[in-house]
Amino acid sequence: MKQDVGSKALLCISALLAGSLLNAADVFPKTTLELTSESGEILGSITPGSKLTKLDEKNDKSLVMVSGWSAYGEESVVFQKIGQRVVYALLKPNAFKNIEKGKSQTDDYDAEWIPSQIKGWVKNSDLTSNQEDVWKEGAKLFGERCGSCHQAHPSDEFTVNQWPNIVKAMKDRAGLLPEQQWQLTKYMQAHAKDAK
Amino acid sequence: MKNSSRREFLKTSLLGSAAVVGSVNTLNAVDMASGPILDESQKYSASHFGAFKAHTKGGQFTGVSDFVDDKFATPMIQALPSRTYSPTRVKYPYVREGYLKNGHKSDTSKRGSEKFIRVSWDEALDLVAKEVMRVQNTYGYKSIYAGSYGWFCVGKLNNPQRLMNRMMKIAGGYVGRTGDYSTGAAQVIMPHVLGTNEVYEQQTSWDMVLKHAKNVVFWGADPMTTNQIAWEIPAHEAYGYMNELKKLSDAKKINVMSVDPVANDTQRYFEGEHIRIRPNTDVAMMLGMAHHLYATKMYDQEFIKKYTVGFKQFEQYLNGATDNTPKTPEWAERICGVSANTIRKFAEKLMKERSILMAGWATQRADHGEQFHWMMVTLCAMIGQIGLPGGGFGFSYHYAGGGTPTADAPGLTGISTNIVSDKEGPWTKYKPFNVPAAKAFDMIANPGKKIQFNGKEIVYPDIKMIYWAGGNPMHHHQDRNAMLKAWKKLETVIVHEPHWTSTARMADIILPTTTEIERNDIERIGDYSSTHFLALQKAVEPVGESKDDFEICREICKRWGYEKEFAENKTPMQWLEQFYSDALAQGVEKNISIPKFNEFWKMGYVKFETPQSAKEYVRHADFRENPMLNPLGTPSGKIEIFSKVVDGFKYEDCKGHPMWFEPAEWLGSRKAKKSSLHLLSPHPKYRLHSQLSNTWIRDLYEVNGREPIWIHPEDAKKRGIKNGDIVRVFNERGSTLAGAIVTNATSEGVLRMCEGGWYDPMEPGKIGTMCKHGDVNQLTIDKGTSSLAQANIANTALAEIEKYTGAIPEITVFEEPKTARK
Repeated sequence: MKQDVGSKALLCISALLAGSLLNAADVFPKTTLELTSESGEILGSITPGSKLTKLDEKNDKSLVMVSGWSAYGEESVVFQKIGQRVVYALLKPNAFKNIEKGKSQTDDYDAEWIPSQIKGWVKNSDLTSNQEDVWKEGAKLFGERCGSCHQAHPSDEFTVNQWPNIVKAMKDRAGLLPEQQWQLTKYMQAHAKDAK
Repeated sequence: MKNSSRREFLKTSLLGSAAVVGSVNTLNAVDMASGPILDESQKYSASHFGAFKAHTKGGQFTGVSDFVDDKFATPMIQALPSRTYSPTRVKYPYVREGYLKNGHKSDTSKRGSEKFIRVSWDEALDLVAKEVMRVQNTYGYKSIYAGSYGWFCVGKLNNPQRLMNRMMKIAGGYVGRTGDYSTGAAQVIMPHVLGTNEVYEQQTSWDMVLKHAKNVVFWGADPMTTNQIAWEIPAHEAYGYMNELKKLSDAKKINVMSVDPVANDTQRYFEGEHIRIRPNTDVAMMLGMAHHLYATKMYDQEFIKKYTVGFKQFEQYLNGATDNTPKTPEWAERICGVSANTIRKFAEKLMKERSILMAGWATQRADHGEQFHWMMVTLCAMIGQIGLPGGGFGFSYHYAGGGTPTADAPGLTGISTNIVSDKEGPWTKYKPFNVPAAKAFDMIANPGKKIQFNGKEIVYPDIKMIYWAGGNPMHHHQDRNAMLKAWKKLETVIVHEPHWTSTARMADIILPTTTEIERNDIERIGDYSSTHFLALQKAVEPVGESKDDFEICREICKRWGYEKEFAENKTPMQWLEQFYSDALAQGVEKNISIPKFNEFWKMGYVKFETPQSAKEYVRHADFRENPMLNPLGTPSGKIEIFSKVVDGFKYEDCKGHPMWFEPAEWLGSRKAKKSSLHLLSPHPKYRLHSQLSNTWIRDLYEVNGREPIWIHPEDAKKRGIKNGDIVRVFNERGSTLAGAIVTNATSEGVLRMCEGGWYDPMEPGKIGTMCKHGDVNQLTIDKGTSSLAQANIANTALAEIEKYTGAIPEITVFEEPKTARK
């Protein structure tokens, strides 16, 4: 443990010296990213536009922290907020042991939620410090795909929770590939009626 | 050969020149003579009625043959040549006489009665381009209503609404619409209850239904009639499944039942148990069923606990704790007319055996229409079979082949309102502003009025201009005379139409458009099943001087200096190729083999395989399997029997859980006299709304040249009405003639007259004048379902009927209106 802290501190200092700030900064995946352990084991995936905290950087990879909430009894999905189902991370069972959990809270519907965070490594080239950059792809898809059969429903017509299933229901007709489905869903959620 | 190569040459040169100048094809305008009959072709084309091969002889569209993979082609495709050459075709651009003289300052009460003056395309397009900009610059974009609801033709490029909206966005914007007339109430309430709209979504496959269901209930649904048409190209596979269902029903393996005030075609085909219910009282009947399951503790308490929220609040209402009225089967009987005993037995039957309730949408096109689907979801939650194969509810089996399994196909996109430009232009400042579809004319009549809509307040803008492309609001909107009054307020009405519809006749400027057969396009077959992409190959030259909507909009944008923004330097064929290429790229990713565009175009179609997994699809099975991993899109992630969100809106007419509300008009209302009749206006068998009313196909159903109206023998007897009589149907809102069919297929007290018969006013343009032909919306009410959805309530209306003894007026709506040359 001590050694870990030491090496991290050392890294931080060297980074400072190199002129780039490496203490906690917000970063956002441009696409769906694989989250791996230090040894390269796949822990799960992070969705486009999710807010991550960058803790460290090594070669072409960054160590990031995903923080969110999971529904009690279902550790595999980390959502943005209690009751607001913006998927941040989808975790594989082998990652469950790495989840740092907080004290649970109940929502307005008596469902229990647990603060959950997990660290892992992602590719640098797929990160951006500007979340708006990520939404460009979703905005483009919305413009091109969502208004050709019917009049497009503006993003603020539905809620954060409604959008994923609405996009899912329309994905075949709109010709959305899985990655495009994520891009569009996350964009619509970020601009939804009740987006915070 | 000689001739076909001449046509090929013409086609190429037209395509080639299209991007350069607005070359007007006047060939057919002056040369109406057809060619030799051995000069023939067969090309693929399609419509909302299905795919087909278009036969041409001598350059004319002479007949159709069924598409090879359509085993249940509808006779409506046979009427398409007649539609193409109908005397109601608009062959040239026209401007109403007074409008040509005085522009937007014209006497608008002359609409409908004044003659139309034929003008050149250049003159018409200049006029439209100038007028749109005048209104944009004088009043701003919120003064132009371009919601333009309607069904037009099929095709991914020639979607007149999208093209016109694209053009109008370039000009600075427009007031659009949200929702539609079909499912206006359900599509607003369902996202609160189930997290998504349900009505336009894939259903549990028919394979699973046939395999597992014991009871199949059609509730206010007539799939036998309505599955003939689709938003894209119908594939009609649902009919194969209905044949199978009939066999299982005859063999007593599946009970097919119907809850409906009328014995519709589906009921008459299956001949199963028919529960005749009083119109607009379905919610009361379901409450009675729910109460019985609740009082006997038969309902699935486990399901309620695990998959729903808010049963407690609903329970208080159901047992009468909140209003001293327990919703017992006896209480329900007094409202819905179905005996308490039947209600109990029916509820028990559904509870004890695997049962699926296939509900239509007619029931939500009624006052407080939001309650119907909400209550059905609640009832099905109590039955506890949601997410099981062949159990629960289904809200799209009657539409476009819902429940027919989805093929492994890429999506096919089309023209959109997305403007790709680096330039700053009028479109950059536009922010979408939409009003509920059915509120269009309330808005026009009442600028500044505030309405509630799904938790928001909308302030009606002051509309000065209507621009309608590919729709016929003078048929689909409720309360024609109130609509005519609003219409009079408009400074300018511009319409794109192939036909002299009632709407076109009420326009100031009418631009004639082509139909599918006269242009190239691309479309998908199977809204749900997605079995093919079809190349719609231009088979004949445009009738008269009609033009594609794409060309019209491009020409208008060109006059504003925004041709590039509109067309992106692409010809129509290049657009089609782009849509196809997008699909091709998805195909590569999804491992679906698809031919190159040129091969596809030559072959005419590409077919996709349906995987076994699609045949095993069960709606909401994933939610049932793991509601936390696969939550619904509601705030709770579960089925919301009580919605805190809806409750929080504090609406008097739509509360936190499903309830029985008295409709504005119904047989049990105080307003209803002993003799009152309830008027229902379902979808027609041989039309798509008002489409095809202007073809020979009306000979298959009209009575004495009028739209038929069904009346029960008892009601007919009281009024001295006999089968085949011309009758007058009337109430305080309006009146129309119709042809009586005296039949016990309809219930006592219930009149049934399909929507879509063309409006043929006795005195065109005059408010309150009688319709000679059979426009049912003379009699309906223009009111929102509630503050929540503000959808239309077409099926909530009382009307009277009498034998018509006056002089029988001639039908004139199927002829060209008065026109003149300048």
